[in-house]
Amino acid sequence: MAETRNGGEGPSYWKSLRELHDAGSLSESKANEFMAGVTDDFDLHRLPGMSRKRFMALLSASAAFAAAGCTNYRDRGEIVPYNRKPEETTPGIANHYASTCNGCSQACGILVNSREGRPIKIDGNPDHPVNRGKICAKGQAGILDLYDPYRLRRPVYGPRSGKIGDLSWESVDEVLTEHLQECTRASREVAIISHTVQSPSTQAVLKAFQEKYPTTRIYTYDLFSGETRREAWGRCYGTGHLPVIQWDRARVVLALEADFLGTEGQTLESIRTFVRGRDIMESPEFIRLYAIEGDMSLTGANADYRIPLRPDAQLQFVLSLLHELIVVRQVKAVSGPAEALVSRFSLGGFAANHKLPREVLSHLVDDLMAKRGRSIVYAGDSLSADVHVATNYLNEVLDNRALFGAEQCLAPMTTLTKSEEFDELFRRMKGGDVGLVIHYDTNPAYHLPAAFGYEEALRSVPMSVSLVQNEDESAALSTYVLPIHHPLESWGDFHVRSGVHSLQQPVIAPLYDTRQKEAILLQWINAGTETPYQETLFHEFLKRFWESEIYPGLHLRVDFKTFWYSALHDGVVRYQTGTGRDYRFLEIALDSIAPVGPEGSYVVLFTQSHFMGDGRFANNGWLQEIPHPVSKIVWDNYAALSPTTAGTLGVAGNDRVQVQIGDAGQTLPVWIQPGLADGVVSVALGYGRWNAGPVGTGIGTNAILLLPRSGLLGSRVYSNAALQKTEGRYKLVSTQEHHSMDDTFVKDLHTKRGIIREGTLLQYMKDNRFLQHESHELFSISKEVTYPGLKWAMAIDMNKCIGCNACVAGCNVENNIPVVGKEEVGTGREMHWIRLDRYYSGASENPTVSHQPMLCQHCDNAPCENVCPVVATTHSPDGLNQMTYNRCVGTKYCSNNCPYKVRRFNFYNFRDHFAEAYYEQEPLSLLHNPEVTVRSRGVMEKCSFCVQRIMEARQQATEQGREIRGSDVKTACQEACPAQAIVFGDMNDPVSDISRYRGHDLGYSVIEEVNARPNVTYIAKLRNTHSEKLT
Amino acid sequence: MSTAAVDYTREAPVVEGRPTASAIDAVIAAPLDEFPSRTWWIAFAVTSTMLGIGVFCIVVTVGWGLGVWGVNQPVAWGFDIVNFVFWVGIGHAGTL
Repeated sequence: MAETRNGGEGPSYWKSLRELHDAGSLSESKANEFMAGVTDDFDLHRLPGMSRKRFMALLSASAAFAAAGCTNYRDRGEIVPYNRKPEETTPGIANHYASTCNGCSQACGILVNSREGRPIKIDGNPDHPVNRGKICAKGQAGILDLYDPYRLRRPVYGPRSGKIGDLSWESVDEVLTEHLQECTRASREVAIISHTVQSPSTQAVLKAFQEKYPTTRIYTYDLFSGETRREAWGRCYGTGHLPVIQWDRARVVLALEADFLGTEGQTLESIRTFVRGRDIMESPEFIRLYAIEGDMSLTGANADYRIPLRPDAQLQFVLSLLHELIVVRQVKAVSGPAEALVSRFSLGGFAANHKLPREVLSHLVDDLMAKRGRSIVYAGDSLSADVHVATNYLNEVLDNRALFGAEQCLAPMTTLTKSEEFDELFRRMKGGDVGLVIHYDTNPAYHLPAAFGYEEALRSVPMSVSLVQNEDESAALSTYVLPIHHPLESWGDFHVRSGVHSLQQPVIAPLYDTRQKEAILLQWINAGTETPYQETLFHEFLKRFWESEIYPGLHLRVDFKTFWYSALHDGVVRYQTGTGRDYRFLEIALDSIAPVGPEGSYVVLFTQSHFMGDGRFANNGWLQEIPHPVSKIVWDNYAALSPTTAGTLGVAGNDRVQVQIGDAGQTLPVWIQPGLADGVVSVALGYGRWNAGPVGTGIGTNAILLLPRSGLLGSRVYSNAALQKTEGRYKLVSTQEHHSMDDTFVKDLHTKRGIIREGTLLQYMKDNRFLQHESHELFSISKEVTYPGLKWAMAIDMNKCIGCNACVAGCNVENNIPVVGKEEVGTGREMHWIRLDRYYSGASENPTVSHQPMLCQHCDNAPCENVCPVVATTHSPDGLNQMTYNRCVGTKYCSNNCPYKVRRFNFYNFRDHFAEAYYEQEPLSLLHNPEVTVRSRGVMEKCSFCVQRIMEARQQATEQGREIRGSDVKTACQEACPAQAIVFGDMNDPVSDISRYRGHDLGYSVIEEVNARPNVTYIAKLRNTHSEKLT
Repeated sequence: MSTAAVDYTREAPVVEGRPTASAIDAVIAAPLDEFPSRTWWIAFAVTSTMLGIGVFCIVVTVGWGLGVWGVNQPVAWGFDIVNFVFWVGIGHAGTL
């Protein structure tokens, strides 16, 4: 430094005097910067030779090991990504496969939404001519049964003996074929008990089975068969081919104890064609519906005129009506048996006897006269064959034939077994002449009326086999229980209507070690050939059958393979049949009518449950939890009584009564149902299973125990029943309070608050804008938000909505709605995002019923959004009221502030809370829609307008380089609605359907005056009565 | 008891007599030095039971869900609003 200072050219700088004067000692001290001993421990050269890189490597490796060691990582085996992507499957994109529903005997075409190889939703197949893209609540929710943890996973022996164990299919085959051959040798009968077989190929399998084992006999029954109708049709026209009724071409419909919109016949088709005749957008000329019934059915609830009448008086009513038309009004000159039959009756006398309103009856007669040839009189399945014969004759007299059957319904392919034949079988079973009983996907121990004594007979048969999906009452009495495929794992074909075959194809590989029920029989047929079982056994059989039996009859130009694949793709094969047969009414049928009238003070009417079917859906929590369309009761059946009858008996709701028919008795909880005819006890069948699984066992009361032997095939109306109040109370749970009829405060609140707004057709014809005169002009002090682009909105046409609840089921499946159970529904915690509100108005003896689907209204001025302290519910620019589950802390402010009460709170983790976490068991996680978050406890949820579908449509539109259109999206409820009452789309698109509905004169929004500006518009219901005023 | 009249004109001494600092210490620290008395144990049991109930309730609420409060649709606030008002009331009373 000194040199620099001395030798350098420029000025030198110094920092201190010491530096200036004593530069040498300073540079020395700089060299020894650290005092002696300070750095001894830090001798870098003596440290181990680990590089920085190596240190980092070790650090990260140890972190990774620690992380791996702390997780419970196990090789789950199946989380390998596709090595090669299977054709057709793109992860994240749904595939749709056409198949056929097996939920009831209607065999509707379905389209199964399958994601990554697992079916998650069922919708109707639009190509199917019967259900046209719609599927009922049972069909929708039926997908739960595929993943039901209760399903049998492998063959089981010995439930009968109590020593239960698993066994292999090979040993089953061995034992059974040996036993079958033994039965053949000893000529002991093999009884197969089946439901109606609608599949031609199954028919062929059964035939082949009978050929192989000639002692086989096949018995067929259905709990709900509509046999009285078929029998009457046979008596009247000599054919069992029931016609398809064209409701839309009718102007007047008279329903006699008939729930054709709810539970009877081809409901989806009936609903579709019926509401086509009540479409205000098309024409203000409506079908007029009269309902005369003892029960309060869904059809009656939708009627323009409804008269309560005991069901056992229906025959006399029809005959009186015939008398009025033939003798008084001289519609048709008749002679012989018809004249003799009707001459004893008169409508006036009948009306006086049963206190029927004369004014309505005279409207009815006038309408039937005026609309001759364009009216339909339709009697219900529960009525006797005699009523059906008389009704057929009434239709003849009125010339209504044109509305019956341009296309024909088919008779069942197997005739049902008569009660006497069953008696004979059971006698032989007890006598030891029957060697084997096979329950072919049936449950006779539950279904057959107790008077048959089936259980006792079955116990005397040496071997019985149940081919079932779930263990049931009959399987519990069987020697072997063989698990079968779910319909979504099965192949099949169905033929329920002339000119239509629908096909069933598997959409998922069998989940368990099960076999298709036809394949089990085929394997036994193959006994002795030593062919090992193959999964394709029935598939090959089906193809061969179609190639040899059905394909040649179609006279197609394409080869079979092409035909087969296109048929599988479409799910349905349609072909021309001859035009409908010309049938002639055989008057001789009238001779056998015995005009019996009502007897005794009580009559029991057995109805079909809306959602349980014949009890097969008992273990389906989704279906148990959908409220009855009229009474709104969940998880139960009950004895419905009219308020007057209940008063006479001295019972109140939730009391218990003992119902007695002959020797059979059963205690049922009482539900007081406004509108029921006096003296009628209406009970739904299909409940009270005692071995249905963790969810379904013991739900409701088994009313089949009340059913006499004749009830299997005959009328379901029993006069002379006895009723007695019994001890104890029972809690029925309804989703809508039932005191609203009498309470002066809440009575008619729905009309006072503008929740339900209705008018009559005449009123509308006189003044189209009558509804709008009541509307208020509303203004807001806050700045209105504008939505310039696309804006989602919904409209619900209440003229079309019949209240069937298919939308509820569709929404449940789409949006992963949990089952909460009866208790929780009882405390008002059901989770349905859409509900069907039912309101009564008028007198409780015969109230007017209004249905209203209620869901999140996605209000522009949403009251819920303003109050959320954590901004968990917000509005999107396209008009959706959104929920952000992750932000929600569960304050429930929004729920309190919602005028529509459509928000649902997860009071518990319901999947975990219900039935000991039954719905958290495997494989139910496969059922969930992967596009929709599964909500846990403590968050609010509500209808999202199926935002996942909107997003999917938007993504598709983006891929195609265009703007998303309102017509690209269909919500789940809209897709499910068989009446097409729900319209969804872009309200800012002036040519869309939705803007037509929103601008309609009958459009209104619920509780308008709070100015929430809902985006759901309701089209007011018009009653097609003779008056301008609503009564 | 003393029957002598109290002389209100003179301010009463805070500490009577002239105790030493260590004597005052002994008095103040007595509860810490001695084994707690029976009364103390009873009071402690009562209050800790109350605390325990509180902890239990919170655990149940958080563990099971708000359903345990018996609230429902449309009565979304029942126990919680009552509980809130109760504590607000106590807080308010404290400020008076």
